[in-house]
Amino acid sequence: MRVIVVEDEPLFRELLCTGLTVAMNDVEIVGSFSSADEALAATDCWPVDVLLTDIDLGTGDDGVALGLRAATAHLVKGVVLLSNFAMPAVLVDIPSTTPVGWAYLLKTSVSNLDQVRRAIRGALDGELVVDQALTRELRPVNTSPLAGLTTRQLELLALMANGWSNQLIAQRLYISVRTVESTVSSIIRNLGIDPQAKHINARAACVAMFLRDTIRHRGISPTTRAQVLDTE
Amino acid sequence: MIRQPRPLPLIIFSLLSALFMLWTFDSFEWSPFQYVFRVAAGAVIALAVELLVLALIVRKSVSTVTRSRWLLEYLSASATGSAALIAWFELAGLTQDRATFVIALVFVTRAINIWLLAYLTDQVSEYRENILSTRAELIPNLLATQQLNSLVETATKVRDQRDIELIRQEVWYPMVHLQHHVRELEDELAAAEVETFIDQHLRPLAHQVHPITLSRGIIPALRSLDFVIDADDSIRTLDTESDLVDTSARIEVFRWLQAVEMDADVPTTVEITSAGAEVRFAVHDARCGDLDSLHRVAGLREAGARTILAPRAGVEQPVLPAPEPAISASNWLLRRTLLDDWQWSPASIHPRLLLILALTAGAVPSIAFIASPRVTASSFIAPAAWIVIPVLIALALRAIPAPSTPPARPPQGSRYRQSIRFVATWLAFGILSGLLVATLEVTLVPDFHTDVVRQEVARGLTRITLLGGAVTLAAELTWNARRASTDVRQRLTIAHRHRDALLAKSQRKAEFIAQIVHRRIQGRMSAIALLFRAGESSRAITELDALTAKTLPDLLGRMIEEEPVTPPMDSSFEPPLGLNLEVVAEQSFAWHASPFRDRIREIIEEAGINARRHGHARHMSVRVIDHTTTVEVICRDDGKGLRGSSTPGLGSRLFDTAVGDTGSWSLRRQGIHTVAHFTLAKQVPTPA
Repeated sequence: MRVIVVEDEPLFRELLCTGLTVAMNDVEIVGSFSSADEALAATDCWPVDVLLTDIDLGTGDDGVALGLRAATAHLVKGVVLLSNFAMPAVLVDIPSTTPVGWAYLLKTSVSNLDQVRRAIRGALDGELVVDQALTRELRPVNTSPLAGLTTRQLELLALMANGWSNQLIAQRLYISVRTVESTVSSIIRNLGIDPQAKHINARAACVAMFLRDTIRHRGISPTTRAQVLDTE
Repeated sequence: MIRQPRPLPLIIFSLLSALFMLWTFDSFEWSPFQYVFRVAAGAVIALAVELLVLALIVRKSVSTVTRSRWLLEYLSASATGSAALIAWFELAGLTQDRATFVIALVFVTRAINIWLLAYLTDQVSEYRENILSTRAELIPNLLATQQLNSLVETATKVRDQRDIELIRQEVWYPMVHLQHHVRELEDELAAAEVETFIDQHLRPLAHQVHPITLSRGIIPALRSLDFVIDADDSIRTLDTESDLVDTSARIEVFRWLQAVEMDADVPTTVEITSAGAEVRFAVHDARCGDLDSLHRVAGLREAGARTILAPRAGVEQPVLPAPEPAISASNWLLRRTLLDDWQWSPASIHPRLLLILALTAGAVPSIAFIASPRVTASSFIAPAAWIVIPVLIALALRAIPAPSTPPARPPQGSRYRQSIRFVATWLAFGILSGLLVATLEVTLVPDFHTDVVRQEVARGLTRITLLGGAVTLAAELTWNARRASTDVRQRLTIAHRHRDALLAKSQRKAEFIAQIVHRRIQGRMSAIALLFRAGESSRAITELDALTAKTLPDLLGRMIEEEPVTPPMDSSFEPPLGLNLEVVAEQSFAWHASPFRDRIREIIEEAGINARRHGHARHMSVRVIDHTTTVEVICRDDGKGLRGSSTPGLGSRLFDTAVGDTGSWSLRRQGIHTVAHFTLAKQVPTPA
């Protein structure tokens, strides 16, 4: 898997590249850059499978704009956004017709390699993946179709948003894969999403609605972080 | 385009001509009552006809007309008025001689006198409007802007100080504590501590100071504050394309909403709707604060409870409150204004103006001819002398060089001296002209008149002093008023630019702080957490030590340093009316830092005024070149230039003052252009 890393903090970039190479055997870092312009100028590195980029890159394009440009030019299959900010809502505004998957990870979650792997895989599969620290304590607003989902469906939707596959969800929730598949189908149906629609990934559309129509408490409490770490 | 013809000059002329007729006509055998009735009736009939014609031909739908139409409309009115007057004279028996020449003279002099009076009244009206507009609208606006700028400056300082204190308390001190604490922990625990520190301290702070999500639109930024957004698709699309809210207003909308006190149990909704040239943000189920100076200066305004309006992107918004109602135009104010603003250039006597006055010569010669029983050859001597002599005197006066060091502007407290000098000049000119004409007449025709000197001096006073002085005074006053108004407008523009600079500085500072917290500290802290997890604790601690001992104090020090805010000067020139002014400075030339800033501005403005006023230029381009020891200012205009004028005027004296003793300036024609070249010396030589 060919990966480009764009990160303006040199030490973090160096550690990220080292960590990815050591922990994921199938990852090949074909280039690491400090800005969007620098990355786009390195034409011999493109195309790649995954672009792993910080959102705030200082002057010039930010990570989202870089990802959109690369995706529009078919230079990338998946984009993983890294940020120190808790603002996964940026994924909602990415046009649904963009033919790539997107993931959003907090920089502090990079040390959780399972999560990084899930984010990369999910993005490659065209899904929307969000850091699990950011999907805790979310609740749907009353006016959304999400309010019609059961607690179990919402729990499953949150796991989908974290990039868990049906098989992993089944293992985690101690249910059969068939049950997971059936629940996912009912979620898609209940949310009014057409699974047959062209250029639309139904799972990604569910996650986009999940991010758009939910609210959370301000900040991420230490308790939440501890819970997240415990579950890992 | 000039002002639409009005009845006022016709009314004034009728009154003056009636008085003149009463004074100069022969009353024959009529009683005083009969005589006054006949003359007054003539004036009233002529005026009534003129007003009727004017009412018929003047278009009501427009306020300005072309110069030719203006001349034609007044001419039509005066011609019919003259015809009516001559007809009445005939009926009333006031004329004894109906010479064609006399009738033509009445037609011509009436028309030209009305044109002159119309010019005078128009000038005075324009002057009055300019002064009143300056006093009632521009100056309060300028003061309001300056006050607002001062409030913004204070608010910015308070906000900066708060941010610095926030970083000190929320970042630096806790980080120093963390620095000591993690040394005692296992690597994994140390990494968790660092990550907790990022979550609890750095992330909320960076987002609070300058949310990066704003770069992707106001809606994602508000979502990150946990608001539920109620907006239709068109609003969302505009926001995604950064076309919803003006850039400078976006951060202020965010800051206002950031201060909203949300209810813990009920989600707070922000309803975003379009409201013409503005965007409405209505907050539901929360408590909202008031708008502060920075919010307001960015264009935000309240629109009911928990609702604000922000300017749409790309739409120019008035950011200032409407000025107070105009000061009432009382005569007292006008009189005071006349004296206050009477700062003219040294009294000027223009030969061209005198030629026009001499050719028309008011109603005096025509009346003299009408009253005369016979028109003889000697009757032409007086009009010819009245044409030649005043013009010759004016030309002679222009040839006299001006004093070598006259003040560019009258010194404080000297305005009465200036006024007296002006009146005395024109009085002397009128009397001298009368005496010379009388001398000529007596020399050529010894039995011309017995009382010729008294009559010609009286004519000089009315024809030259009164008319010439009034026209010159009106023109000078209007020019001064326009200049004062331009000056205030320019200062207002500078104040607006200053406000923009303050806002830009505030935004830059917020971005700088966000960069400190986010890019330099938060990014490095994330790397330190990774180092701990990778088992490289010694390197992690070294990085942490560097952050607390060097990076943070350095960055805080840079934040505290005050950056001067100076409005840009290169685009703040206010060209005279009708002149397209283009100023190009070398990129490396910093206007605001230049010690010549004011002098260069003065030179450019004066050059513009001269080019427009004397050369009738329509375009002037200015280049400013910064050399090692000099600064060059080259003004090139498409006007006619000064046409070899040898008399130094106000402009040239201003140029002398502006370039100083060590600088120089020159004026030359280059093809179809006039080029004024100024050199300002950077180093003033010190005396040995």
